[in-house]
Amino acid sequence: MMDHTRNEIIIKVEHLYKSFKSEIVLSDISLELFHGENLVVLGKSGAGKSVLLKCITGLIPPDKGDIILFDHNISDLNEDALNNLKKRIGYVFQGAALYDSMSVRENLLFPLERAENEISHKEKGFIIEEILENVGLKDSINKMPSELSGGMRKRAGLARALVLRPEIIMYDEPTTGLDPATSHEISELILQVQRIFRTSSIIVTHDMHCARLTSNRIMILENSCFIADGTYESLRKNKTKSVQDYFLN
Amino acid sequence: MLSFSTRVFKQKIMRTTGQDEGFTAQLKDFFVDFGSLARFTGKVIRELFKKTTEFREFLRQAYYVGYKSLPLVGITAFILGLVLTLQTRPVMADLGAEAWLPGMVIVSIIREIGPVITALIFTGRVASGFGAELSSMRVTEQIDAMEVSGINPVKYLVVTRVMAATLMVPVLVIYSDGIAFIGSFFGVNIQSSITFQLFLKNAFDSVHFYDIIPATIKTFFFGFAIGVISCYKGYYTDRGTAGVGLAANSAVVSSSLAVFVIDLIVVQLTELII
Repeated sequence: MMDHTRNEIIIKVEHLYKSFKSEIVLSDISLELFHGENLVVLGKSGAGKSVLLKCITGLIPPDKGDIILFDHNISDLNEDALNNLKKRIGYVFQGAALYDSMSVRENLLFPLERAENEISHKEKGFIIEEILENVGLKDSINKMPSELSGGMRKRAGLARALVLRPEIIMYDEPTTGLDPATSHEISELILQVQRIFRTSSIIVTHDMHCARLTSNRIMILENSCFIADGTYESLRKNKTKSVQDYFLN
Repeated sequence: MLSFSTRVFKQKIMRTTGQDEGFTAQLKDFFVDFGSLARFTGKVIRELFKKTTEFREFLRQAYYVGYKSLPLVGITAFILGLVLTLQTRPVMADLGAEAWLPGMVIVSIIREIGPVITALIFTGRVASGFGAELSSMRVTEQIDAMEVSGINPVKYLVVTRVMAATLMVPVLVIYSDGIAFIGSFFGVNIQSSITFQLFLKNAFDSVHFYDIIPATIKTFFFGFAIGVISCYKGYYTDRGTAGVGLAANSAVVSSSLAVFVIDLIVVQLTELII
């Protein structure tokens, strides 16, 4: 595990509420993400983990509560300011969400072209190749998303998230749908990205192996709110039944 | 035990109440949907007037919706012109007005049949594509992926498609009118012999400035409506993969309806103005 500076808060969520019609998904959620930290949000399927990530990144508006990104409350920002802030955050989607009409190279070039006007086309090419090399996907640069395996798609999704050199990366179920060996590789890759690109991350998962490998800290989301917060080892020693349930296997 | 008349009365009340509730809910849904569509249209118009940087995507869409529609629109227009001429000829012959046949057919094509049929063909080919493509991107989180990268998906995905549809429908209508003229010429020549020059002269003697301008202007509105409605249906889809089919279907149905409503309004306005 990496050492991380625990003094600078880069994401602060305070008393967040979100419901869809009568179903309460998030209730009084508060969390802090520190600079350089990998925070794992652990929870069962349907616990509201992905909704939490989407609220933090401004994809879903919360019903109530404050989300402060890099000292900016996102509810106070206009569309342009929010878009600029979003460029500092990378997002790795559960299904990778690659643009299926574009090759891997074009998937990475697409956000880069729109964000970086001062870099030449050649330099952009170098950036893309470097990032693909870091995620072990350089040989698949010209492949279409439909030609990639599940693990390769996750890697390509991560490469696209990294192309704008974000300070924070959100991982939405990074190991879901992968075999144990590939899951392990992706978890290792998350750590590698944290080390090389000096990113902070929120990783939502229900995969305990991934949580153990990648986390500096774990928060457990159950029944719409957090029930525990601590390191993997401290939570393993927690005697509460609902927390212990996660460590049974 | 209730008497027969009381039972019938109660059933009638329940049925009426049930229908009322269903109708009220449907009406409410319609207005909510309409309001949402109006907000979306406003957003698209605002983005249209911002400095556009997605010209390449606009060209790609224009190629897809315009150039790729040429064969289908052309074949349909040719058959339309031919059949319209063949169907109209007996009536005109009975009235002893066969010489007016080209003029009558051409005016029908320019004023009404060309724009409406072309718009409907365009709807079937393009609106379903827009609806399915955008809804599929929504379901697979590709639109979310754009948003989190700070890319405005409305500008990239919607504005380019709406612009392409708005500009390509008039072009396709002019093209289909031309092909329909040729079809009509063939129709006239099946039973009589007339040169193309004379056919055109007969035809355009009956066409006036006020036949062409309103018919052309309304095609821009057709294109805009088809673009906005089909993109809206795709952009805001839900219900997973089932929503993709629903969005494509709904895009075609709503866009077709919009074409007829716009046509009705434009015809009424034209009657008032001219």
